[in-house]
Amino acid sequence: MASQFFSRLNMAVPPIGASLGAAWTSVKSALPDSCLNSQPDEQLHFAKFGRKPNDTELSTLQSNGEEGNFQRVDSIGDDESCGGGEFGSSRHKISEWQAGWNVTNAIQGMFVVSLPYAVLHGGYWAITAMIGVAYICCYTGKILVDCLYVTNEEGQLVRVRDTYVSIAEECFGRRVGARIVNTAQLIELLMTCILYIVLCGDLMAGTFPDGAIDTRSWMMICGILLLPCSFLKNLHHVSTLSFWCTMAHVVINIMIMGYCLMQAGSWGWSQVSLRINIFTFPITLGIIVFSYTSQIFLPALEGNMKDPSKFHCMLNWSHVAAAIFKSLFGYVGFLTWQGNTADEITNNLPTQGFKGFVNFILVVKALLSYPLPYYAALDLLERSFFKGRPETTFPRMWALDGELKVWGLALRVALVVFTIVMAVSIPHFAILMGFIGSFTGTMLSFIWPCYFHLKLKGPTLDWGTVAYDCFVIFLGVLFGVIGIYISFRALVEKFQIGLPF
Amino acid sequence: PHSSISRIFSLDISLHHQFFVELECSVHSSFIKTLLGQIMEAKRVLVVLYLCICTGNALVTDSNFSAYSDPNSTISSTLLPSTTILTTEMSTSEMFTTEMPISSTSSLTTPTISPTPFIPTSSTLSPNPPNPVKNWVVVDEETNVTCIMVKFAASFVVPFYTIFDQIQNATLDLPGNATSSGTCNLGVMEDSHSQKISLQWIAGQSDSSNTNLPNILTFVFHKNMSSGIQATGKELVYLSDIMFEVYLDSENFPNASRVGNYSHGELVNSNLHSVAINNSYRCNSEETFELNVDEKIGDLAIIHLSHLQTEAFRMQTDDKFNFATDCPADKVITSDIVPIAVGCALAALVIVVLVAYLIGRRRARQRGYQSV
Repeated sequence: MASQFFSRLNMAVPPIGASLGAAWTSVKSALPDSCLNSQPDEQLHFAKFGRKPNDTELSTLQSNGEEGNFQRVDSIGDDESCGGGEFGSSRHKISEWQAGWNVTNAIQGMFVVSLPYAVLHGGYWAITAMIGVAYICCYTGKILVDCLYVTNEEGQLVRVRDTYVSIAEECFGRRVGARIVNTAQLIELLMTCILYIVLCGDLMAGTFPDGAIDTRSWMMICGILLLPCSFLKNLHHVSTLSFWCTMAHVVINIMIMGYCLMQAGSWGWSQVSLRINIFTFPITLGIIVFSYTSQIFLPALEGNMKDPSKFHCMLNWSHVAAAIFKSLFGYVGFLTWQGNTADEITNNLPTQGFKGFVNFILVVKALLSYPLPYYAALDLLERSFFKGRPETTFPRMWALDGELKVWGLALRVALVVFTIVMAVSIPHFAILMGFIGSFTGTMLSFIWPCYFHLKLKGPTLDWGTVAYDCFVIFLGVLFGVIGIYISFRALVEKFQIGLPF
Repeated sequence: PHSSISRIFSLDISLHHQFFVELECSVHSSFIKTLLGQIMEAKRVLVVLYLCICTGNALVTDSNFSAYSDPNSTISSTLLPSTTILTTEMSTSEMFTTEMPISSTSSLTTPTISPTPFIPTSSTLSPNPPNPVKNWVVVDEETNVTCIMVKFAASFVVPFYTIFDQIQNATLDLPGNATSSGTCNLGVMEDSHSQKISLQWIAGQSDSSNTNLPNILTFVFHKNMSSGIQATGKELVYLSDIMFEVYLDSENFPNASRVGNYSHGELVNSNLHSVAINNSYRCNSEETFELNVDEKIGDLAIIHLSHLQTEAFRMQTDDKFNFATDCPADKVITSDIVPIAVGCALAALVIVVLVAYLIGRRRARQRGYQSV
């Protein structure tokens, strides 16, 4: 009896199983590739020469390698990083997960609390923008990394360039172009660092409004907590900190969205506007667009990955996750408070205790986000100035045993102190950053990757890609102009009211 | 010497109406006709508070309540004489109902008495210390949101004409037993950019012989959208109007030529105390503002505010001030000691870190391990 029953059940199950399987394969084909199912011969396919974990010059000579030729096309004269990559020695390559945490750190920024405000002013267009900009930035990241490679005669991709600056050298000329891109990158990175300190100070001062410690003192206290960043040596440590930063971000998301879900009875589903208010939509566009800028870190991250073939899927998934999180958060946050949505959602939270707790987690997130741009800025400076004569003006910071020289440490600490001093002394920093960042950010994230792609790979591209690149350049110019105009007006207004101190 | 009698009544009307009240006093046969003023139609039922004062050396023997919806038709009634009690205290027990002939041409309904929140009921007599600092709030009834919180100590200098045609100044203090009222305009779309708080008190001793009318101090706050900025777009809240209505009583304004009237002062369309929304403005040092007086005196009335902390357009139901922005005058006082101390700690820590690393490296080198 039972066996008959089960056999009849077995006959019924396959149709369901088959249809489920068909549905699953169709869903899978729509999603980006999973990073988990790459086979070892993917590495062959990309032919990353000299990039396997225990690859050194000697082992290449001795091994019966897959390819016969030993030409090392990597040309950066960095005797430590055999195998390329910006961030130090090749012994410490990172996995694609760690690279993913770093990218998530860069794109899921501090302004997540302003997203419901963006939906307030932008409605469904804001949500569309969140997803669309994620897609565009993912694309520009991929083409930027693509510019690092050149197809050699055998049709294999070879990594000829290492950094953003080296691409610029090729396209803009060695003297002018490299300097411009270097400067833009440095400004963007340092301003991000300073912004994190400013935000820490503001959040802590907002949590303890009647305390004896004012904003500037809180900024300096947070800066003291950041002094150990000067001891960061490789990307592993930075990736671990980025991982914890992402965890803090997830905690914030869960707490606020949990609270919003509890208020699900009072959601205003019809309040999300379909029209664009031409005066307020640019603000929201600025919030959304400039949060997705991670392109500065991408050449270095890709260069330091153990398995760079997984770079594309890592980038895809991190951007998909970011787009989903952001749009959901903005949408749900707006539905809960509708017209009363404050420009920072923490101001809408009902009790002072809850708000204080969320502020505290945000401060932790800011502190954990700081190491990535700091490390990138440090590496940029080191690469430009501290690689030893005759290339650069200063000797190397690293002693022969791999430890920092004392004056090297002093310089790193000085950089942290510099960011603290800038945070404390510049008033209205967030708007100033919006003003300058509108220019450098659009250049680094939209315009230059597309321009380099067109210049370097132009002959090999089809018309669709060329048109798309031009479109992205146009978008970048548009966002930049709008952002500069709005920030400039806001700056003027703020300074008319008077300096806060 | 004179006695003054006050009578309070209110009535419900349903539409726009202007009306006035006549009171007839016995001895001098004078009556004061006071126009009630424009009744703004906000809802279907309006409660109108009307105060009528008659001064004279006698009792009010008769009073005529007249109301009209247009100047041509007048509906009048006579107040019940049994209620002409000499009273010196205004309290809600004084309320009475009037009989009104209901006319088909008017849509006035039978007036009903309802206690108003506007007149402060005199509670236990408490001494009013001059210039106390007290907290006043405005709570929106529907949402329970405390939309305005203010705390300050205030004193006024009000100029007035004396009967000898001189200008004198009277100094008044805002006492601690003032009560607050106001509007939040939370649901109203047109006015959602302004909120108002009014403080009322009665000058003079709060005992049974006080027949003064309330003084009213009003602050109006405005909110404006600061034009487009990226992530930190904040609206600004500022104090736009300060207005007062001071009753010229005989104690504070001796020999005033307009005794028994009100003196209005206002400072409008300003941009004071501008602060980002959800922040409070704090100024412990004394600030002085000059207000234009309606008497065309030429002198300005002055209001001194100190120990001030204000916050408007709040969205919270609690009553704690948010993060305070200090006024520039305070910045001199609020010490820079804390930032300097933290800065010194930071510098010391930097030096300690470098020295410790230096010593650590020296010691490691001295131990002589091989370097690659």
